[in-house]
Amino acid sequence: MFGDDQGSATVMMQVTLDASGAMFPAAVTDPVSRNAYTPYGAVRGEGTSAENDQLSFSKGWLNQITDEASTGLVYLNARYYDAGTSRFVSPDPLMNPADPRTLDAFRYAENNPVTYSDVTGLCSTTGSWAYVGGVLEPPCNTSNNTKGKPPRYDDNDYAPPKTPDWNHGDSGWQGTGGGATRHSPADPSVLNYLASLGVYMDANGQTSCETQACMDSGANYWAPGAAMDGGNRDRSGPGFTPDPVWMFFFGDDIEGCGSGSGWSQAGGCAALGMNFIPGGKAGVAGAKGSGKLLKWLKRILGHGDEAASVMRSLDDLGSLRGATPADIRQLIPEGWTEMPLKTGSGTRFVNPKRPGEAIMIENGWPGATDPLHSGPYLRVSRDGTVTRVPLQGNPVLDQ
Amino acid sequence: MMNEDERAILWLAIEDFSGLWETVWQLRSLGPDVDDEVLAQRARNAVAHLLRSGWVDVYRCDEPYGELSLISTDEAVVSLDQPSAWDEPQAGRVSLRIGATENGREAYAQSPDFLHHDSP
Repeated sequence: MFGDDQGSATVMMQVTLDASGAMFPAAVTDPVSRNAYTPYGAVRGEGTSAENDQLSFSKGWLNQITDEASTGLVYLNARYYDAGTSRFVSPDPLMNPADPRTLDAFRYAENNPVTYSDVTGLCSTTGSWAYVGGVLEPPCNTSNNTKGKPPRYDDNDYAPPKTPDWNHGDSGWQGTGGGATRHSPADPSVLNYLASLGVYMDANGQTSCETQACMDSGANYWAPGAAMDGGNRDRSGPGFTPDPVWMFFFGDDIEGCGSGSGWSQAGGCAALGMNFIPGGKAGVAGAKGSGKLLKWLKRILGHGDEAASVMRSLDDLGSLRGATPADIRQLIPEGWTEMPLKTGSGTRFVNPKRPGEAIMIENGWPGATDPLHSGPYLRVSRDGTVTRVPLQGNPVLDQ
Repeated sequence: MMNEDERAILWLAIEDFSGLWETVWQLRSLGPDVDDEVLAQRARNAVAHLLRSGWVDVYRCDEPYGELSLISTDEAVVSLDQPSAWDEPQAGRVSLRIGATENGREAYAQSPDFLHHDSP
């Protein structure tokens, strides 16, 4: 049996072995079967054509299993793939919200199957497979994995590429301080895992922090039933099961969560949240990144409300309509100075390097003649313009 | 009475102590196709009118957004004529900002709404 350059089983012919074990083609009259595939995995030709004999062995395109008996889908390990539509049937669990290429989470091989293939359902590859830490891994060349390493879920023998810089969008492997044992989901599909947990994504989720300050923030949610050995301690109690799976944290004011909680080496709860996407680089981390992570999870899991389904950005002020002040805070560029307004009620964020630029969260002026001014809104002074955006609770949003 | 420019700028001064450069930016947001020179002149005229009406005061501010000190109306009138007073400030420099007076707040509340469309 022979394969093509993507590893697909394409030709099967009968051979004979001589006494030494050498292989020879059988008589030329013996049948030779062929399969051929398009780059997207569709079978070429009809079953009896010279091009395609519909081989009856289990492995086909990419040398992977196709569920021909029922769905016709190709099992690409982390996900099923539909060669008919050239798309996966579930989203990429390693989708990177900071990378626009990954916003189409159902695409196959960067929509470039001539160059890439994706046997794992997790990353596109161009080269050879290799054993990494005793596990066969594809040489991922994907935007999901900016460090050029394959995403790993069994990380017991996988060292972080370097000490993660949690607060600057570094990749999310937790540090090993304190002799920590790091755990991860056995199932490589984070999404499936989350779904199986029935993840809480709203304010009704239970808080998970151990420090009072963290609990008071009311903004830290967790996956019910999840357990986490975030440092070197065995966590137990309500909500913590013995199963060694990842826990994630995110919220509005959780950068201090790590302090005194034993998680400081990981940069706080938010950093743990980043860890939930192994190998992923969301481009954000720390408290700011955690909010984006929350929105992303809400969106891809379909648990969020309409507002949460929007990827908010200061570069697109329209995307900030209906945001909460907490949402805005998470978007404020690092290094900007926060101070209360000198009049009215609200907060001003100033770019210290360019004082003319300011972002103000106005709590609203009850009784204002302009409805926009009567409720919470955002004022952005930047690039020669002043723009106001209604925030959650502003009556303009109800019009 | 106040015109639309003056009302928009007065609101800037009610929201917080806003910089003179922001008054130009505000008018640009309302009329993005208007020439910059025209916008600057309109902003100067509007602020001068608000100042003369006793609806705003002018303050010096240590940037970024530091201490504020009220300056007299006479001094403010002179300062408004200096083109550099309308430039976006540099860190560590002194800027001019406007803040609404109580009379200014009342005048705003009693003025007609021109239905600004400055939000996305």
